[in-house]
Amino acid sequence: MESLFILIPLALILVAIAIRVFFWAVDNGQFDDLEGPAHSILFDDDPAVEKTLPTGTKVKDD
Amino acid sequence: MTETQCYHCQLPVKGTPLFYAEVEGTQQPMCCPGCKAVTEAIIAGGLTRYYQHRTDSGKQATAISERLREELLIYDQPGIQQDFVQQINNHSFQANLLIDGITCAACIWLLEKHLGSLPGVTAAHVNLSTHEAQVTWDTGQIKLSTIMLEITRIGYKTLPWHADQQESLFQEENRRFIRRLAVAGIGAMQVMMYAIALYSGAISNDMSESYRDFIRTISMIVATPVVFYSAWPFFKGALRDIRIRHPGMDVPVSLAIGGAYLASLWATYTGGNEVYFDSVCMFTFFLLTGRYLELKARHSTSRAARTLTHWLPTSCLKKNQDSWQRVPVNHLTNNDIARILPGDSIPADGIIISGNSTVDESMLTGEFMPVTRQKGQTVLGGSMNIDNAIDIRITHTGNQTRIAGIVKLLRRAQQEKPAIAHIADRVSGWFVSAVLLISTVVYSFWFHYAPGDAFWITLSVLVVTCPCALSLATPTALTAATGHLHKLGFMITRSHVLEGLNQVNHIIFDKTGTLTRGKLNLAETRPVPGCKDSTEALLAIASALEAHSEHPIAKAFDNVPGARLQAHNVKSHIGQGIEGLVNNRLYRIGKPDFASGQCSPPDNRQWLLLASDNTPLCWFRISDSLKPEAKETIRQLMATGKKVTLLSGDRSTVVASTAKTLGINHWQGEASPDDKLAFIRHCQQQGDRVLMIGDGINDIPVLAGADISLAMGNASDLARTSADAILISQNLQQLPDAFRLTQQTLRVIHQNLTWALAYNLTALPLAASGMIAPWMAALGMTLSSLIVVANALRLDRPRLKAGSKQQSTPLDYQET
Repeated sequence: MESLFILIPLALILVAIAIRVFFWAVDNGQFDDLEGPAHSILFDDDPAVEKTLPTGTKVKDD
Repeated sequence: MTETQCYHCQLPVKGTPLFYAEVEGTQQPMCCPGCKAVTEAIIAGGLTRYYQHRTDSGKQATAISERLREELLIYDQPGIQQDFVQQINNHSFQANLLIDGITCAACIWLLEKHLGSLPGVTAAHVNLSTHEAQVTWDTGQIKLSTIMLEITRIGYKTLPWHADQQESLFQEENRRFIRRLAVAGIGAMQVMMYAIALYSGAISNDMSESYRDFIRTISMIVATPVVFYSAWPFFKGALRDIRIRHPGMDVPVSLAIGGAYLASLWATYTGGNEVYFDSVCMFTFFLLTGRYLELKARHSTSRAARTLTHWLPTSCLKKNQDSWQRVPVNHLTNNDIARILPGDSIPADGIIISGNSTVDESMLTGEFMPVTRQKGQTVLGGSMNIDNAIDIRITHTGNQTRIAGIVKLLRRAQQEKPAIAHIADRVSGWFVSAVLLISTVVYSFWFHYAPGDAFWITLSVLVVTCPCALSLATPTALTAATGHLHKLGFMITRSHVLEGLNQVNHIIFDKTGTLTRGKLNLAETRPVPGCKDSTEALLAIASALEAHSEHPIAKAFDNVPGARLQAHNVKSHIGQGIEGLVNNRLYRIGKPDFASGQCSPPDNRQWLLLASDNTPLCWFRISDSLKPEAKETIRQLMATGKKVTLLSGDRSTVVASTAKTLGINHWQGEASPDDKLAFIRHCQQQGDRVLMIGDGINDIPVLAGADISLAMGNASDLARTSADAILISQNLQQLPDAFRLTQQTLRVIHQNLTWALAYNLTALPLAASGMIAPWMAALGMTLSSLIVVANALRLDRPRLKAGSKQQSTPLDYQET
């Protein structure tokens, strides 16, 4: 159990480092836009496949 | 009749679509050449996926004019660039641009992809929250004006943007808040872990004191930055509250955090019985989350009010010795001579020194019929020159213009706005006093019986009567509701709207642009008896002539179906009409006595006459059409027992017939802005809570005077910035929905407050009698907060029936 006296302060140091890294990210503007990146993963970048839709005007119903 | 929609902007296309663009092998209908160009640009760039990704339609595009190209070229001048461009290295530059027309995340993708594919652009990043773009390019390969032109080509508007003070404040505030949240969140997790160890030790009763004190010390080390860094805003707020003697939520929060922290410090050093570090951190984290939600809502709404399309143009032609040079408007000074071409906005107040023209001052006066201005008369900045080029001598620029004066007036009017009390403030003040009173009573009671325990028990009372749930109750509900309304296209820019809407019992509508489309339409075509030409041929002649005019009346002939004819030698007579050659015959169209002095119009509505050689051929009736959803909306609002009034500056006969068509019983026509304001004041004196819905600058004092004001999305920027809320979708059907949602919001707020108070009332006696262990207090606090937040989030689930798009032909005034 004595290992706790080493391990817990070690964990604290890790937490401190994590917070430093986080601050660095915030100051770099990585948290300035919290909406856009959430969607960007959905946009796949492969070129659109040629597909033929049934002809005729499609009226989007919304 | 089904209506075709434009594939790009999804606005209805009247009649047979004239424009098509090919998307994935299908000819899709387009409403205008602008949208067609945009769609083709998107397809050509291989960005067809935009149409699959998007969750909102694009904005209606405008075709790129020669003038716009010229205007963009200005931004290549180094002198202009120094405001918003930074040099990165030898020939790499970075510009900040503001982009207008972003509707959803697919826009971001489209912009970044399209800009990134341009040769010479090394990086392009667009921020969805602020609509700012950062573009880095290589001056050797591409010019900034080309980049801006490309943005315009795919359907957005763009402006150089140097973050003003407010925007950089926002950014700073946002970053500070996220840091505080992170410290509180990570700290809370750590301390909770140590707390579990302490609890289990306490329960099994076999933890040696050395371990216990060690873990307490570690907890203290983690909790200290949480209290002194993350929770700092609460202490600051509490001090401010005490100074102005108006206790808000910050006072009990600070007492609980500060008290629990100090007591835990004491216990750690003296080996006392309890530490509360875990409660302190959780508490701070939850509260900060609530505050952060509030902050985000506040930022996004104040950004919504910051619009791109400034009322003054970006550039104009200035006289330089003996040539005309295009300069940015902010370089104009008094006594400069500027030339304003037809179709351009006037850059500053000035006096006409040559030429005469008609000017559209609708953004100042709300009258969308243009007025004639001649040499020696004054024109106002922000109005639109319609017919001919004029030269003006500038008399007032920037802050001295009439329009800037209106803005100042407006600020004053806003300060005199009747305030709507917030429930949360009322409850919190009452709650704070109660908690302080009870704590004092508990302390003095126990001090009498067990002086050693008095402090601890009082402290547990403070922690247990967690104001946490209470202070989360309102902001989370308001934020969720604001978000939901935003999705409906109803944007709130002032915080009192949600609570205020519920008290509104009298709704006052402006007519033009609010209940009507605010655009002139061709309502009726009536050939003169004995005329041999077919109606189609007459229409084609009329539209060929009108195609040469910028006048609002001419816009009514824009979408005339049928054959296209060309008019030659067209001359427009100011305030009278147009004449020109079509198929080698001379025609005139316009006011009846101008076209042919021989006959009078069918009735007293607005008729244009087409004539040839003084022979009348055909009457065209021009009118503004009602929005299709107006009638149903009014019916629904009246059904909920609200008074509805139509208040307009238009002619009384027109206002009366509109009111009749819509089933509105109270109306008043020919009302000047002062009359409108007086009317609203009169209603308010009678105890009404008034919601005013309008769109013009002339409505601004009125908008500011009403309890709550709502501007239409197409309103002038000034009206939009002065209103409490903006109906972006311009669909009136969303009004009843908004009313329903505010009712739900208030219900949820009441539920939350009731729950928080009930929890507190149950916990208080237990704590006061010294029966609550700190881990129970922490657990109860956490649970009560979570319940409150979960309940509030129900508001953001679009369970409401969103305003259904009605498909109907525009209904016209039926005057019987």
